Amino acid sequence: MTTPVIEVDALSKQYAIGTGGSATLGRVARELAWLPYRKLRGHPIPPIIKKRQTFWPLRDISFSVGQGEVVGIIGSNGAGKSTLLKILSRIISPTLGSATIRGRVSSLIEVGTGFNANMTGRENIFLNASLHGLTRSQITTRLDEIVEFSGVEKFIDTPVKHYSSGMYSRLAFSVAAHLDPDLLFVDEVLAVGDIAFQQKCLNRFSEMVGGSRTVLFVSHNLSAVSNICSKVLWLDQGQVRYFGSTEAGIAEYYKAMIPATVQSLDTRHERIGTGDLRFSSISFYDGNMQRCERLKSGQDVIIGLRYQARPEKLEPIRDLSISVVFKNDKGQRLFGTPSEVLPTTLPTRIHSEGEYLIRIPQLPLLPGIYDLDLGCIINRSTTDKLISAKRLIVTESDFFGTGRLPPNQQGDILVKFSNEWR
Amino acid sequence: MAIDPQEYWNARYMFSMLVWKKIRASFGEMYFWFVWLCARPLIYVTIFGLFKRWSEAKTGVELPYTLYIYSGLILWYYFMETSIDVSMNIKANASLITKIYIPRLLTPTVPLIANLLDLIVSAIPLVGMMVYFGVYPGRAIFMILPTLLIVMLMSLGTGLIIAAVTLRLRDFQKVFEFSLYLAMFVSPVIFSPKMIPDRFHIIYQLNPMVGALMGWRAALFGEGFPWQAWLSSLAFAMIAVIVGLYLYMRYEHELVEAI
Repeated sequence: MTTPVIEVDALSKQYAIGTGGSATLGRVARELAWLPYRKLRGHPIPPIIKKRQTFWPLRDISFSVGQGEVVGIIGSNGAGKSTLLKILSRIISPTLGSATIRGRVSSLIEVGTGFNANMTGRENIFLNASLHGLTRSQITTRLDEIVEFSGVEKFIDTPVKHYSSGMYSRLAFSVAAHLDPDLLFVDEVLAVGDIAFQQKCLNRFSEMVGGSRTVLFVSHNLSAVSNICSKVLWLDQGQVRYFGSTEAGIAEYYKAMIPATVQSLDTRHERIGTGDLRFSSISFYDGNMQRCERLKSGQDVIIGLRYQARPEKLEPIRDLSISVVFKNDKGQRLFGTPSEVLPTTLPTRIHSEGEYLIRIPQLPLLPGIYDLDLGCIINRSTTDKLISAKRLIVTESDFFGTGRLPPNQQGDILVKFSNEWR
Repeated sequence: MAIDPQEYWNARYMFSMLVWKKIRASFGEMYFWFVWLCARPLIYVTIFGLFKRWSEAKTGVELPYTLYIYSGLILWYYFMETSIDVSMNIKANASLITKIYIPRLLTPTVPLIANLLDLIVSAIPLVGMMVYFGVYPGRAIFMILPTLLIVMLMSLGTGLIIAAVTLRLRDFQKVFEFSLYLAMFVSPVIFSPKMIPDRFHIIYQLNPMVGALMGWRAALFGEGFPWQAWLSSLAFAMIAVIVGLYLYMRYEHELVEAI
C-alpha cells in the first residue's frame, strides 16, 4: 500500500471549559483586599486563578486514509466530529498524539470565510481564495469559472453587502468549489442557495470527489454519506466506534440507534400518570401487519402500542385520548396522532391487556432519526405519559419514483405532491 | 511551535490580502478617513500650542513647536494603534482563525504594515509644515526607515506580550490601552528630553520609545543623530520581539481555544 495521506496516531484533545485558568484584575484586587482578613482569621485563601475545568472531546483516535479515499465522519452531536476536523485542518492543535497530512488541504468548515461586506464580489473572491492558500495567479485563472458558477456576474463589482443572502452564499460556495486541493475537508456546508443551486453544488461536489482527491466529509445526512463515501468513521463520545466500509458502518450505526424491533417500555421509570392504563411495548408493522425492523420514507405503517390496564378503575369511559407525537432529532414536534380527533366511537370497555393500533398511510417523514412521545388520558386524568418513549429510524426510499427525496434542509416532513406547467 | 520560513513565504499572497482587507475596512467604514487621521494630531497640536504660548511653559524644544509635536504624535499614534491591534489580533480575526488555518504569525503582523498607510497619510501635512517653517532633513534622512523598523518591532513585541498576558488576566487589555495614553506624557512627544535633569537621563532612556522618537525627529529635521538613545531603543525592541514571539507561540493555541 502507498503511504497514507492522512495519518492520525493516538490523537487526544483536551478542552478547557468555563472561565478557569484566567482571572480579572477586579478579582485580583478583591482577593488581595480580603487577604489580611483571611490571614487573621485563618480562613483558607482561594487561588487567584481558578483551576480549569476540562473535558476530552477526543480520546485516543487512530486511523489512516489513503489517497483518493472518501471518508464520511458520522456520529451524534458532541461526538467530536468537528473537533477532529479542526485538528486535521490545523486550526487547533492536539493535546496528545499526532496528525500527519500530506498534500494541500482545503478545509470547508464554513464557506465564505473572511468575506467583507464592504468589498466587492471580485475582491472577496481573491480574499477568500487567498485565505485557502491560493496564489494570485491561481485565482486569476479560476476567476471566470468561479464567477460563472456563482451566477452573480452582473453584481461582481458591487459590494457584497448589497447582495441577497442567496447570492452571497452562492458566491461563497463557488469559491469553495474551485479551490482544487489535494485533500478536501467538508463540514456540512454543501446545501446553500435555492434548490437549483443546491443541485449544482451536489453535482460539483460529486465531481470534486472523483479522481485522486482525498475527502473527509462530516455529516448527519446518512443518505449523502452512503452515496458519496467509500468509508465511514463513526465517532462516539470522542472515540472511534467503527472505521471501515460505508455499508457495514451505516448498518452498525443504525443498529446501535435502534436496539430491538419490539421495545419493552416496562423498564422505563421516568413516566408520569396514574398507571391505570400503561403502555408496555411499542412495535411497528407495515401495511400488511408484518413486523418491520426499519421504516422507509413514505411507506404505510402501523404503530402497535401494547398496554396493560385496570378496567375497573377506568369504566365507565367518558372520554379517551391516546396520542403519539413525532419529534425530530432537534426535539421539535412535527405532528401527533391524538385519537379524539377521529370519528371512531369510544370503546365501551377496555381489556386488561391489549394492543392499540395507529395506521399512518405514507409515513410523512424524510430519512432520519425521530423520537416518539406517548400519552394516554382517560376521563380527564393522565394514565401514562412517556417522553421520548421510542427512537425511530426512517431510511431512504424511492417515494417519487425518481430516486430522489427533498433535502433535509427544507424540513423533515415528506408530502406527496405533483406539479404541472400551464 | 517552530516557525517554518517556507510556510510564510507561501503565505505571502494571503498576507497581502489580509493587509488589503484591513486597509479597505478602515476607509470603507470612515468617510472622512483622511481628515480624521490628520485631525487628531492637529487638535493636540492646537491645544498644546496654545497652552505653551499662554503659559509660557518651557518645553526645551528648539524646533518650531508645531512641527515638534505633530511629528511626535503621528509616530506615537502608529505605535499605540499598532500595538493595540497586535494585542487584539486574535479577537479581531476570530471569525477567520476558528474556521481556517492561517500561519500563526500572519494575523499579528498584518497591522504593522496596514497601519503604515495611516502614518504615511498623516505625514503629508507634516511635509507642508516643514516647507512652511523652512526645516529640512539633513544627512540622517536615511535613518527614517531603520527608526520606523524599530517602532514596528516594538509594537509587535509589546502587542504579543500583552496578548499572552490577557490570556491569564482577561481585562488587562483596558489597563494596557490606558497606560499607552499615560506613556505618551513620559515620552518625548510634547516636550524635549532636554527638560529632564541630567541625572535622570539614564532612567529616562529606559523608556524604549525615547530613542525611537529622538531618532525619528533627528532624521526628519536634520539634527545631530542620538546614536546612544537610538541603539538602546533598538535593543529594547529586539528583546520585546523575542519575548513576545516566545510567549505568543507558546500560548497562541490557548488564545484561539478561549475565543
